[in-house]
Amino acid sequence: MEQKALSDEMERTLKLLADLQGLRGRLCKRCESELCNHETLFSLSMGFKNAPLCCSCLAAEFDREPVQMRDELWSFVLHRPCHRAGWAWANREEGYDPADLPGCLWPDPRKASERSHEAETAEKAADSCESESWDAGDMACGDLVLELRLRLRRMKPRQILRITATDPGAREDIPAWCRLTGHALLAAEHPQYWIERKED
Amino acid sequence: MAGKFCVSLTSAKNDPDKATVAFVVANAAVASDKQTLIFLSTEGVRLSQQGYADDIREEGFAPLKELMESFVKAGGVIYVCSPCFKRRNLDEGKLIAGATIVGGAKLVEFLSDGSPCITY
Repeated sequence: MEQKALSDEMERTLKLLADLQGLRGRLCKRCESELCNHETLFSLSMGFKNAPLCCSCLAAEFDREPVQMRDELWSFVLHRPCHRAGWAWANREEGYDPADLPGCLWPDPRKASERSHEAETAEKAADSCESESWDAGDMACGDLVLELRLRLRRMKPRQILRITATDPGAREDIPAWCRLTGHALLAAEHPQYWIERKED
Repeated sequence: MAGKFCVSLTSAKNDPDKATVAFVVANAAVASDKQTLIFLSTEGVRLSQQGYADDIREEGFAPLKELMESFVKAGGVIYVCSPCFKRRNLDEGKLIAGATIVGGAKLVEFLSDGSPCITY
């Protein structure tokens, strides 16, 4: 990894850890249950920094079953170095062995190596997805989403594309385009966006 | 009767009459409980800058600045075409209240459930 990329990754990690620490002990904005640090990390991953939600409410927000949501987000976290650091921090904070799945989300404690079938499936799917990245620079409007469409069409279902799009319109446009087309916007932190390609 | 209404505005000081009437119509829509959007594109994006509309006053109409402020206060939304904004080197830090820079997908999303759209 180039020095600049390493430095950027470190910066993202430090920011994420600071956000996690700042949100420690917060309640779910919807059901007011106390959030564990792992749920807070899930909320940050999904762009709910200002209104963090518990895993069940996040699942309801995205029309998923809670277990499915948990496993998908866990898989998402595992594939991003800064989020993995956040996960390790959450495990330490709550006294879980780094090799265990945390009991706050997996009430039946098991080793991470013995995780659920759903998690295995999600993990394998993500592994098989060679996540791609694309620096769109300041490309905007129709040019941006047309190129985005072409790039996602070349990918396989469930592969994840990370886009860097600096145009100020991207903040509104990329989420809108995902809602229109059915691709899943996994996370957004302008100028970076993570999109999972939909099924054919 | 609820619903959406879009006014697309492509003029600013190059045609202050059109710019003014667009906001008059948009205010009629928002006053009629329509979820109303003004989409500023091409020369129209200049209206998104603080102070730009201050001296536009067409005979027979309220000053444009007042019309724009009333629109936003009533819940109207202003989208500003991103490439049109950039090619005119306008300042994102000087956006008027209620204005958001967007690309085409955001407009398409607004219109995609059959919203009417009138263009000035």
